[in-house]
Amino acid sequence: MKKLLHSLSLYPDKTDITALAISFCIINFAFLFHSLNFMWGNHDVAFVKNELLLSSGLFEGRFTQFIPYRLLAMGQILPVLNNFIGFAFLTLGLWLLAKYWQIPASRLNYVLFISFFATQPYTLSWIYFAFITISCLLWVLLAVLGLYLSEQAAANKRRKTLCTIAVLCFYTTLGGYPPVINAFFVCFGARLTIAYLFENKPLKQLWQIYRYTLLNIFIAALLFKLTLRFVPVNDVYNLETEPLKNLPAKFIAALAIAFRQFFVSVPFMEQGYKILLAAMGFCAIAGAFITARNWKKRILTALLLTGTIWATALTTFLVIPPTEYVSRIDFYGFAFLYAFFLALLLKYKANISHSLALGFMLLLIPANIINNYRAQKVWQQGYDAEFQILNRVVERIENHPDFNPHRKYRFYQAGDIALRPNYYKGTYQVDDVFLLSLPYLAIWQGANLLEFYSPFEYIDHSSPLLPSDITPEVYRYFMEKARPFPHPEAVYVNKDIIIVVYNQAGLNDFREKIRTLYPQN
Amino acid sequence: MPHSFNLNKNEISCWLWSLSILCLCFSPQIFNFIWGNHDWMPILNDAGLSAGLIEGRFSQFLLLNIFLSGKILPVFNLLFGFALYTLALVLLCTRFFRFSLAGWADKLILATIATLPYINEIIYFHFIAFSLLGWTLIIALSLIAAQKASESSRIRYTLISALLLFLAAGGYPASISLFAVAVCLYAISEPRIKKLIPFAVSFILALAPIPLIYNLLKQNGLMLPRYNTETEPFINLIRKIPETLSYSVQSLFQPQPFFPFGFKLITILIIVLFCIWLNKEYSQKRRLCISLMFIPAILLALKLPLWLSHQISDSYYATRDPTAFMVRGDFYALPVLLMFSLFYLVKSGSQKLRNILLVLSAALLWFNINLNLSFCKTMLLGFKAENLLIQRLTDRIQSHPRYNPNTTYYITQTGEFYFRLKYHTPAADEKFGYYTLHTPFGRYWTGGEHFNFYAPQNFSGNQIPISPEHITGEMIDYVHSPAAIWPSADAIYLNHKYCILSLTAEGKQPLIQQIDIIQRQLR
Repeated sequence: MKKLLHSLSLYPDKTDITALAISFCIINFAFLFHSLNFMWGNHDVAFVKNELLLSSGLFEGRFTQFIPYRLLAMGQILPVLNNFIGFAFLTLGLWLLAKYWQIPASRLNYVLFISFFATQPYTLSWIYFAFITISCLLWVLLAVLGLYLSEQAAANKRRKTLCTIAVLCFYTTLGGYPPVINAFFVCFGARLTIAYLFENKPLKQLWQIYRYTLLNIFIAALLFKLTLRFVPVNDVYNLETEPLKNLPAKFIAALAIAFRQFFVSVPFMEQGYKILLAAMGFCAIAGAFITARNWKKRILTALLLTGTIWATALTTFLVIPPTEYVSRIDFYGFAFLYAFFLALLLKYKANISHSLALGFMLLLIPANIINNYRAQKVWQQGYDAEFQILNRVVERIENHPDFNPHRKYRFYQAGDIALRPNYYKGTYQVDDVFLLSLPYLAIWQGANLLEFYSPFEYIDHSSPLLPSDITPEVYRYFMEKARPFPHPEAVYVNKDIIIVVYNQAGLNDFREKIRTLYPQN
Repeated sequence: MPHSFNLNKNEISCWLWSLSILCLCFSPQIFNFIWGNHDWMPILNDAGLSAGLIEGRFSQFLLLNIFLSGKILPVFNLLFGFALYTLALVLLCTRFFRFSLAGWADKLILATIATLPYINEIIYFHFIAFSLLGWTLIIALSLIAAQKASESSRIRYTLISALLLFLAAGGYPASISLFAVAVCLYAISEPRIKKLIPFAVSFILALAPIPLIYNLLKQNGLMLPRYNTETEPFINLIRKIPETLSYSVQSLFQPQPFFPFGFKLITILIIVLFCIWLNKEYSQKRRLCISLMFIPAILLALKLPLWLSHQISDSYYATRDPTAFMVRGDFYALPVLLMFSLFYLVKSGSQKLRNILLVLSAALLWFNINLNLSFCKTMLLGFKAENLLIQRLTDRIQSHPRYNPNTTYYITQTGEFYFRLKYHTPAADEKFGYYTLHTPFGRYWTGGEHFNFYAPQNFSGNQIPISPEHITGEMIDYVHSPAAIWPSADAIYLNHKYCILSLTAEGKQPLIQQIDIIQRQLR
């Protein structure tokens, strides 16, 4: 093992180990409140209580998503360990990225690079859902490992072995979360820029070295698409890809989105913070043009940089559902791009560049941590507020004269309540549901939520409301009497069904629905 | 003696390392201040020196009062307790068994032993967690003193050893397993009678006064006969040996909550490898001696509390687990056996064996971290769920039309809900786990504690039997009504003195029987 790591220049020395340890501590500190308070998102309710199976992600084509959970946490979402393992993988992945981008090896450089990337509020989006935190942070390590090994394959005797491992890395990550493809190409585009700018390699040589990377990604993507044919996937939104004929038009749209992203503020990444990041990007790009010695080189550098920026919107380019300004996807794109800008500043030989990098980091790392803590406060308060409402609803249901805990009820939740936004006073242009507005009491989790803290299990999970449930009495009740929570008429219980109304929009939807179900129509 | 207690750099490094991993395993528990069903009052009022006398544990709160003034504090109690426990392991390893601690392999083994999930049950009750963890250090010091006695100042060190063991046994009698197992293992490496005499003398000196103290406490009405205070008559001990040995072996295999078969298999593998290696290493005569004496002695020492105690059922809902499968007892026995086995094999075995053991140790550490955090998760969620229920019950009592805020009600809670189980996915064939998984945070007899805990004024008194003159027709109708069970609105009965909470139909049966008997007597 030691020999292998040495041959790949991956055996960590004292500088690496210290930098890894310091960065890991900083990252854990940035998310400590979340780790210690064991919060989880609305997809996690059933998984926190039971366990994750290897097959849990198959319905949306994520066939490798839960392998890390089965191997590392016995299929469980565990307090503290969930974030701890995830951050360990992220730290390692970013250290490897520093090696891949050949950031000058020093403890300070590595600590700045790893801590800056990992503490960006984009990371928050991966700890919101506890059931994928470990996997989605591990994918960073695997993606960068795939890229690193693909590069090493060009000059290594064991080329086939390295390429096979690289393909496996890419394939596993794509099977876990396909938008990770953004990370492949942002990191790769950045690596090409670095090689062209700092190593003065001609294009032909670059092709000879990096063709294996392209080939490995292509093989992995092909295998991924093939695998999807054999996986029993449901008809879900996140597997819809854009038809080939639409791609040329979407190319420009994706480019516009990628550039606009620099200035669009989202929750916990407000305007001032984004401008600071953009300023760092501007300095890094300006440095690249200064470093390039002639116009030909400058034009090529500009093309490579544009390609790298465009790659941050690669998923948006490839899929039908709108994915722009979604922090969990931007984690694999924009977070890497900002890290690349920092890497450039750290790589330029001029002293002013190092001073700029240090200056930006002195502002940005504390800003990241403060933004993360703001988010964690908002999440905790929203979580408590929503669960307090849930407890009141449970009490109303279980105290209802028609309620019998030994019966099985069909359940419907009309609407939901998202209270995190109540505790956030910042301004933003585009909302990010995962960071702020997604409710913990999601409509489709209502049944699991009701039973989460209750002593009883009284929901029939196998069956939704039936047409026969909409009796004249039920119909009249919801058309005339029902009101959203906290009104006393927000909870309806009879011997077969339980219905909870959380908001007016949900009630209106439900009214529409029962109009079609009501037998007299 | 004092100079030898300066810890060297390796010892400190191993201590801090194992302490850190242990803290990681229980960080949710450390930082979230969760407490068990005996802790409601001690958390409010602290634990006085005499608080353990009721079950004969005369020194139980000595350490807590010396170090923390009897206070039960968040973070500090467990952190401090873990520090003492891990220090005990380091001292046992380096000073008593005299294994050197140097490289990462030693750190791995020590962290593995420190985090074994037997500690789960020890930390369930917050008010005794610090003491229970602290006794390990006291016993380690007692062992080291007895060892010193065989080298110099025989009487002085033997007396010190006996005094320390006496304090530990007085605080938690089951802790003497640690002494017994450690001496058995010591005897394997130092099988000379002369060396073992101070241990035997210390053991006898420490335990001999305890029955006398128990009698004294009972005579003065300070100690009550409980399921955990009765000992077997001497004559029964011989008869119980085969049964105890059988339980000792069974408990090595039996999957329990947070001890799945995979975990048990690794521990068995380590113990079997140790036995095989001992037989391989020693002469035929000694081999026979090991097989016939030491192995049964260790098996007996592993279940010493079972062997010595006489189990009685003292109340409805008393612990339902057989003593043989109480994880608290294993905490004082199995970690030291596994630690000795691992270090002994790693230090004396071949490179191949060493590699196998390190893999086993790493696998065990992986199990430990996962299982301990899984335990913490059930504690966190179960505690929250049960507190929410207590909150709802309090709300219902206080919004009852007959509720008078100036009255203290004697609460009769029929039935119990235990919620930790809801958040645990059981392994195949797993059994038992009363304290690790089943016991509720609010017991039927702690109403006066848990209902008052967050209430603005005390409205709840502890359960007392309903006196015949207070039994009314209305109360009889309520008790016999099958519909009046939680969560029904009729689940709560309130009159001017009593509050009856009917949580489960099963739990209501003893009350129905009690009322029926009284009614018959009155007729």
